[in-house]
Amino acid sequence: MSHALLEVEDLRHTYRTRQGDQTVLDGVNFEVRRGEFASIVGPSGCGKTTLLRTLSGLLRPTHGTISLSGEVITGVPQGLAMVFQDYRASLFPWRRVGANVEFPLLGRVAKAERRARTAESLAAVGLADAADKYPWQLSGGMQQRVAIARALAMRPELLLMDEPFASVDAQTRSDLEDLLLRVREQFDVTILFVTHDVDESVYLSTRVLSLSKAPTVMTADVPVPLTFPRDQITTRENPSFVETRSEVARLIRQASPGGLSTAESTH
Amino acid sequence: MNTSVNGNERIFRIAVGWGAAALLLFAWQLATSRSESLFFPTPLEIFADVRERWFSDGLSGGIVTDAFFVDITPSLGRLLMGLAIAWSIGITLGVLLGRVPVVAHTVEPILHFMRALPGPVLLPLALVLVGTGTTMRVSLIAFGAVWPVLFNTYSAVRRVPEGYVETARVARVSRVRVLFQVILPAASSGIFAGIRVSTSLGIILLIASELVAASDGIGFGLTQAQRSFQFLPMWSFIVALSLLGYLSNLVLTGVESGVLRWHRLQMSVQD
Repeated sequence: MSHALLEVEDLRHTYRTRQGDQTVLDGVNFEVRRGEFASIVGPSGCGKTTLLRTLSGLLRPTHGTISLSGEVITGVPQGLAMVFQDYRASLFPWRRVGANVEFPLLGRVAKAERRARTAESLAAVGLADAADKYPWQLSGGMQQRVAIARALAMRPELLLMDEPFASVDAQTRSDLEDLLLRVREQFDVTILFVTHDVDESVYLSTRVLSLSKAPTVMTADVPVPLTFPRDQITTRENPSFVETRSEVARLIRQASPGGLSTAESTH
Repeated sequence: MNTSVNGNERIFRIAVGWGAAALLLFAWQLATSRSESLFFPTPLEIFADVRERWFSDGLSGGIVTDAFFVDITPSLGRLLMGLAIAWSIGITLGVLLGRVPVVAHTVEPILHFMRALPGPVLLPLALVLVGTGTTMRVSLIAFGAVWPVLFNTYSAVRRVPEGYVETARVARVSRVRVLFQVILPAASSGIFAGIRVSTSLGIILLIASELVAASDGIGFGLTQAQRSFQFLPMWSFIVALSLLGYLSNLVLTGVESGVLRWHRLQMSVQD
């Protein structure tokens, strides 16, 4: 029996607060197959942070299961790496760039291998010369590239990305998008990418999943009928791109209050 | 980047600082040499006495005199031991408080109450409880000097961005490594601030503890000289004390600038 790389079944999470119970995830189901680039989009206030925290094992959901390569996860699973939105709170300012990339490998991978992987990952994101700099000596876009290099050095099967390009300017963002697509090919990694930018989700992905506002359910699962490699100008002009983009945007609007009912979301 | 200008400016500032100190010494010398008062020997006399008293044994004798081992060494030992205890307890408890909310909620009120007690006030109690030996002095220093380290560590650990810890956890880094390689480095500048304050507090408590029921040390020497109307040695002990404070600050600054080089550089970049 072959499993999808990531399987999420009936995932529910309720926070106990003083104002009473607050259900954020209300039965989320989806799977990500090996080699896919799946994006998750949703209105602000959808439970995407909670979803990612449960997927990465940082938060134990109140109900439901998450399986990675067929194994139900109970803590932080092996074979997973994550790139956070805020690179400033994710790269260690006391370690140089190379030492930051190497950090997750310490005590687990032999020194020579560690050095090799660090050099390879930094080269892949175009920062081969920056290993001896401190992260705060680099621009925001470069820092996020360091965070991507660190994730790649872990050789993950699944790469989770939490709005990784939300805090950089537009030009840098396009560059980072293309860089991400290149390293995806090079490292053969499956990506689950959270964003609230519909254009970005369609441009990058093989599939776009959309979430409703909390209590969150999956509202759509849209395949992206575009080939790789993609191009910032021609891909975005492609009628399929425009069509898919409109479809996803419409689904998100419907998912806002008074929109799509939860009954239609089960697949 | 014109570092040479900055370099010159730095040398200039240092020169001005030392010049002012030299000027003050000169004025002091001038004033005291004209005065007939027995209470105020001249700085030259004082430095001669300091040299004679503690550093006159020559190179073959290891420079320092026997008196050095009676007056200075015991104080140094007490201070170092007291501070070592204060720092280890302060950092350990501070991390625990900062990372485990239950512990913080439970013991924080007690700690604030205990911190409100000025160290020297506990001297009579310490005398009764642990007697007049080294233990009394060391525990008094430790008790008084623990608070700044504890509370600075606590607040620095609480301010460590959760992103650092989560990054490490998603990388399946062990709890021990998260503590030593993420939390402590991230909190190090706050911890160092606490260590500095605790050191000057420690020196005050050291002297206070040596004023009572002591048989050696700087504080003891100071009161002995004063009680026997030997004002020159009294001044020498005061100088010894200020040297101790100055040197300990110098050592701390040296260690700190090494450990926190990244922090200083980062701050200068973000200005």
